[in-house]
Amino acid sequence: MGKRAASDNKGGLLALPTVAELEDTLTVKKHQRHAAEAEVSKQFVIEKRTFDNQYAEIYSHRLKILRPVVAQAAERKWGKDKIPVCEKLLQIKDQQECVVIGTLYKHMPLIRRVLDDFKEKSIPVPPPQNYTSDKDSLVLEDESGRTTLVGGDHLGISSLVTGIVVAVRGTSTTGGEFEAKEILFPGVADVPEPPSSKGEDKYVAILSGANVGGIDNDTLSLQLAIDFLSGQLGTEEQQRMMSNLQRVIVAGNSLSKLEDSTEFAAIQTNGKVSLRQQRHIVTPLRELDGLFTQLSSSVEVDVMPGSGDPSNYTYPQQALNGCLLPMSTSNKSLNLSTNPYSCVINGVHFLGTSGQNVENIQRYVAGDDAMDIAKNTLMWRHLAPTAPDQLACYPFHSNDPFVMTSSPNVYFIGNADKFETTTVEDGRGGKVTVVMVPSFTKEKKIVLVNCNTMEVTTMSFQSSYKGLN
Amino acid sequence: MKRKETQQRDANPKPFKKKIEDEPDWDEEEDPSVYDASDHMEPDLPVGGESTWARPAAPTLDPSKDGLCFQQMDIDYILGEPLEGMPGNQKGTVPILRTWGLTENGNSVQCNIHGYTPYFYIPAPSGFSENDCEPFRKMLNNRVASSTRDSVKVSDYVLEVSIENNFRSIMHYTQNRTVFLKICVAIPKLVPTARSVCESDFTWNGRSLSCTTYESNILFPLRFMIDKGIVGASWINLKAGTYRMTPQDKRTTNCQIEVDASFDMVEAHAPEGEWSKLAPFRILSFDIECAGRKGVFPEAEHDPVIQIANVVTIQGEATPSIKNVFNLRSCSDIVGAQVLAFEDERELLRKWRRFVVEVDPDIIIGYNIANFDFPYLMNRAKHLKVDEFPKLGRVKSAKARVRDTTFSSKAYGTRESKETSLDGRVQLDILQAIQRDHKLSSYSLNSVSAKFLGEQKEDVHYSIISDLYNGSDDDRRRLAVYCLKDAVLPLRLLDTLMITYNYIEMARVTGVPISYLLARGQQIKVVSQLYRKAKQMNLVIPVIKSAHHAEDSFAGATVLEPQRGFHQEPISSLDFSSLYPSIMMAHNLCYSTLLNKQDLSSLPPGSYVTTPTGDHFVKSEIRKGVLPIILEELLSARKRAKDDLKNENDPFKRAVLDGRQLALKVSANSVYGFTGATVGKLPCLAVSASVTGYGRDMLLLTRKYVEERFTKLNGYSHDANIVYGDTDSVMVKFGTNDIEEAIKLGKEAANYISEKFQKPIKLEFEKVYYPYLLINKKRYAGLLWTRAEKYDKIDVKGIETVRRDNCPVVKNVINTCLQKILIDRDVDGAIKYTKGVISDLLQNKLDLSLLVISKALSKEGKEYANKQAHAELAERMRKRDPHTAPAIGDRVPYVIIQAAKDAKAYEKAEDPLWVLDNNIPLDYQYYLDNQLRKPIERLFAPIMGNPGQLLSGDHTRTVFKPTPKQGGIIAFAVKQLSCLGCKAPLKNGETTVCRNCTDREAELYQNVLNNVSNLEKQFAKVWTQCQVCQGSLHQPVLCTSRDCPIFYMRKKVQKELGDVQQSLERFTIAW
Repeated sequence: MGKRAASDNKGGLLALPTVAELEDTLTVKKHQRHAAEAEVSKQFVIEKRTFDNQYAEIYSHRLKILRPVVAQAAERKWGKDKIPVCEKLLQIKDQQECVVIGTLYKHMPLIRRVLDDFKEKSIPVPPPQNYTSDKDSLVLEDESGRTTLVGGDHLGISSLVTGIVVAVRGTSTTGGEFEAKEILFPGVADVPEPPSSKGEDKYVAILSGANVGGIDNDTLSLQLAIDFLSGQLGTEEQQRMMSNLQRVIVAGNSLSKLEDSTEFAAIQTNGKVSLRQQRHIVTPLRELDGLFTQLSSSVEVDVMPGSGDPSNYTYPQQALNGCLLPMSTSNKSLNLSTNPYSCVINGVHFLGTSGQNVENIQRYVAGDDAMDIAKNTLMWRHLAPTAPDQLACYPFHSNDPFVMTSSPNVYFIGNADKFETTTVEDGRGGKVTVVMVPSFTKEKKIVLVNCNTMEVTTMSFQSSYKGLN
Repeated sequence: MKRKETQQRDANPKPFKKKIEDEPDWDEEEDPSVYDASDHMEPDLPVGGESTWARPAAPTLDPSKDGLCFQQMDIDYILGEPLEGMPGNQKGTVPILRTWGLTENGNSVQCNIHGYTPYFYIPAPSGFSENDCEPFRKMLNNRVASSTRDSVKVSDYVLEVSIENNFRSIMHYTQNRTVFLKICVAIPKLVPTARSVCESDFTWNGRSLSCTTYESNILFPLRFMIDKGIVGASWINLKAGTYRMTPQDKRTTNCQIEVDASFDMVEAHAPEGEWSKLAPFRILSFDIECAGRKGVFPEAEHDPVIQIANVVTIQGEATPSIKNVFNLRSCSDIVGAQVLAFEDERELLRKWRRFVVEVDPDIIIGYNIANFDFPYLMNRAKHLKVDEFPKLGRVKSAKARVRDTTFSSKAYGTRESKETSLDGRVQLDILQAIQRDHKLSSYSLNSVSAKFLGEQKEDVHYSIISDLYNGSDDDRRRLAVYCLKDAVLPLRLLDTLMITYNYIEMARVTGVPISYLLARGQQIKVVSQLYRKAKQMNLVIPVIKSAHHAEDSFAGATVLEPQRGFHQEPISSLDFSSLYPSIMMAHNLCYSTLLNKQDLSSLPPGSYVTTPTGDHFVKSEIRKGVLPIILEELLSARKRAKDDLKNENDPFKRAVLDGRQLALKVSANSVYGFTGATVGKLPCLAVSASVTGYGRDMLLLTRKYVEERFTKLNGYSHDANIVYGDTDSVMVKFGTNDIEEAIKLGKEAANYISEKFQKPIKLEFEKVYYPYLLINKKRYAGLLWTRAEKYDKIDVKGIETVRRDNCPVVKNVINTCLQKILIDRDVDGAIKYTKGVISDLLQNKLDLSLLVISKALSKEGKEYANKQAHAELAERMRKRDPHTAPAIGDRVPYVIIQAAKDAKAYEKAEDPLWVLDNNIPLDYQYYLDNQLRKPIERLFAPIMGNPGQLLSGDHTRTVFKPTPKQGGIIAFAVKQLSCLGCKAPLKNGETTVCRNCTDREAELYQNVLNNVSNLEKQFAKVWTQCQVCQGSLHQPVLCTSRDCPIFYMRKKVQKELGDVQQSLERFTIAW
């Protein structure tokens, strides 16, 4: 459905606005916008970051919250009286069918960890894109201990990752392993009822992967998208639509990754920055600051950091620092938010990430595409199970903010390779709209979510600029 | 050899000192005492419901119909009463040999061997006749009786004297036989007594005489094995009708089958063909944990044994048959292992003892069990008055005792250790086995596992052990899991390093019991072979008083002056295979072929050779020497084993064969050393000096031959040139640039030169070094090629290093440089890299673990004669926090810090963790000058003119200066924020940058952020690694293994993240 919208709109996007026109549009707002009721969750905000902690507490907390969930699911599915649920892994009785609950650990021999670098005679090999192999094996763990899961192909090991909480039905073998028959996940959490539609359709736009400063960045298309979102471009119809734009979510990677550039390497080693390097760091930021200023002068904007943005490395990424965007942050309608991001906009719950959670899982599963993984995370009730094991993560104190106690109405994953959308049901009639938001650099598309109908469309900004030379 | 002290069993707990050495002390056998029969009556063990512990039930044997065949694992002896119907002395105390083993079906066997009498030889006084035997015996008996201090319950000390006409002495070639007297004594202990009587003086026919004794210093069990042709770990066969079952009331052991046999009925199978198989022996690996008090290494008088983990495997089976943990206090279950919980420590110890007896292991292994686990258990049991605990052996009444031993040997150095004797069970401390066979920088179980098994093991400091023990059932379970792992790892090491196979094969090849291999040096192995071979040839071996004089030393091997430098052409390495053994064979060098000068005239010229040292040996046509025969057998057996190995596919059999060929090689090489050991059993410098003399000549001749033949004049493309030669190898530069050509020429030269030497001396082409970095004598590195297609590896000799007093950065730098120089041929890259490391070092960018030096704290600081850095540091650490300070026996890791100018070296050592916590600057110059400089200069000297320039210059200009947190002037400093851009002091209200730098704020922020991100990345990497290593996501990481390469990194990253996070927050406050 999104593609239709994209092609329909092509006609209105041919001309390049002149600077004068732009300045003009900045000051004049053609359609009055209604401010949306929105509440950005502080779920992923870390007030004071300290690193004295270890990672064990995250897992403990995750299991604590999800254990009753899977236990219930197991009872529903397999019958409470028929197959007993073991309190602890260690209380498994020999040769007796039972259900055990714990955190999965997927042992993957291909993964290189930091100690491998210290092994003698080890030749550094480039890390593979995908770490799965037929030697992967599953271990189930709780506070009391672990047990190896055996049971062959039907367990679907290739889709599973470390860190998900599951219930397993099976029998323990004499060798201390657990012969697993079936693995059960927490299942999609309840979706809150979306507000009944009233009046005109309202929209939320999601943009990710602007990639300002990148070599492959197409400044013109981006400018067009910003203009469009500001209600300055497009057909009358489109402009009216934009007047009902409640919010723009910028889902990460607004800046190009610096890491590969030579300038960056030089900074790393010397700590001294030449003028040229300084410009390299700051120029894209200035540009972005300008774009955000323009955008936020007409609509509420939530800026999430992504893997390329100057935020912290560990998950969750904290909001960008205001000093990076001095101009736009003076505008109250620009909110610097975390990644992942959770917000209720006019009663519709949006939950989304800039993509790292899915991208990371993708390396440890075989055959599943990003959409499959996104759906799985809903089923696992966990945004980022591979954190902290593979996805670098903040060492939380007895907390795991990535557990989904309820499902959102809209679940989006930024910086995807291509646009995709689908719905997932929670089993009680609730539906989650899952959206893979394509990286703008790749598809030149922004995503529009209709908050009344949950319909998702895209808008393409294929500029003709490239054709000029 | 096991010794019993049943008489003073409980009397004196003090361990007594006993020396076991290569030096000739092992003839002083202590006397085993007679068993007290009343002690046998121990009630049978209750089976405690652990039905899987015991061995399979033994069949009922009918000695008149059934034969008994078993693999013997150990042979020792006791003193006892003569058994009716057995040969030998029938009165008083007699020695009874006990052999321990098991049948093919895994039933344990103990066979008492009766009637074998200790003896030795002396040359008969002139004119001695048959009639003189009895008078001589009486004379000697009286003398021995009067020199025996202890009361020995024997009727006669010397039992018999008889004339032997058929023997010669092994020393010197003579054609004449000597008349010998064989002197039999009642018990082994009397052999040395009688010997010293013979050696000092005795009166015979009115004349005062003294004489050399022969074969009077061989251990009694070994004497028996030699006479019966039994080798270590071989299969013993008792035919039906040749043995009897020991009556139930006379049985002294827990073995399933206990029999008595006469010594002359015992047959042994040579360990070949079918009989090279291994019985399914039971191997018990165990580890104990003790709850130490804070800051003190556990002491048996105070600290309880809280856990004993056990793993039992049966030889030939892939998975352990028993896994369990004995726990003090309750403990949660462990998947795959049995958990036994006890409220009373005494009960735990009793039960464990019963477990050991019931499992009845043939071999007990563990890591450092000899010096820690066993002594600790024994002392603890004594302290708790668990009287029956030491009865861990197979003899029901015998209590194990802990003794101090000093083992010293040229090859292994001096080592003090403890020994706990367990009758009938072989002990194999994996730590000792690895210390013997591998030179490592650390022998902790962590680093040994990392090296050989490729896995890190977490290390729980003993101060945490008590905390876990005092915690919940789950905490104790966690501890139990560690403990179990420590019991599993020795087994895996045993497996991976094929220690069982190697030891068993070594025992078979050399003929000594397995227990001798760990407890004794190289010499006993040669002695065993020498005696065996001499016996076949009717030669007897004199006991020579070792007399070592400085002038006895002789010239060693020769080294050809190296042409130092970086050789970029292929260098062919030609090696004499088994040089010394083949020289001895080629020239028939032996004790028995050595000629006395005065005998030369009686021999036709041409019947003997004169060696480069001027000694004379008869040729093999006249008489073949014993040593050459032994060597020939060893080397041909090795060749057979290697051939079999090629054709064998079964991994178990391959392991046996490989163990054997290795044992054979080591044995062949130790023969030469035996003849040269001046404090040895039978030194003969004429032999050893001649061997090295030949070796030197051959090396020089080889150089001459190569350089004469491979010349342009003879049609070769270049003149060959010997760049280096040492002992048994020469490095030839043929001048070609082509590897294939170098290999071809190498083979040609090897064949050509081999022709020129007496067989079996053989020069072999082995490998090509290309390129070859020749630093000095015995110091070189090269890329090794055995075929032209692809290099095999980097071969390094004598370059850094496994020395522990080098910090890891040295090894890293040298290794990386060698790779760059030899493989990448990138000398500039190596130089650049070295400079980079030095620059990182000076700027504090190296990981701290690379700079940690460690030394074992063997005694209190005060007890060291000179002040030692690590001991002083340990003392300081104790003052700071007695809980975590290193105790005696720990390794103390330290780094060198900057200190006042005239600070002593020992004052500059500091705890790495303390350094991290307090931002103490390291003495980078020390690392540069005392650690890196010499190895780097040595390595680069052959390559570049002035290697010193690597250590000075631009890259050494920037030096890190941290702000100390305490001490000195900092106490008076006032903290004030300064601008992150220009360092100007900030005004009120400004937190990050000054007015002039506002423009740069975003950029400065990103700089700080980059630091944070990099550290976060590292933080995530190391802490998840530790979770994987400890095998749990849900439990916090407790490991404090300072051997682990990421231990300090883990601390450092936490610390630095905290610091950097603070500067990051200054920006947050600003916004």
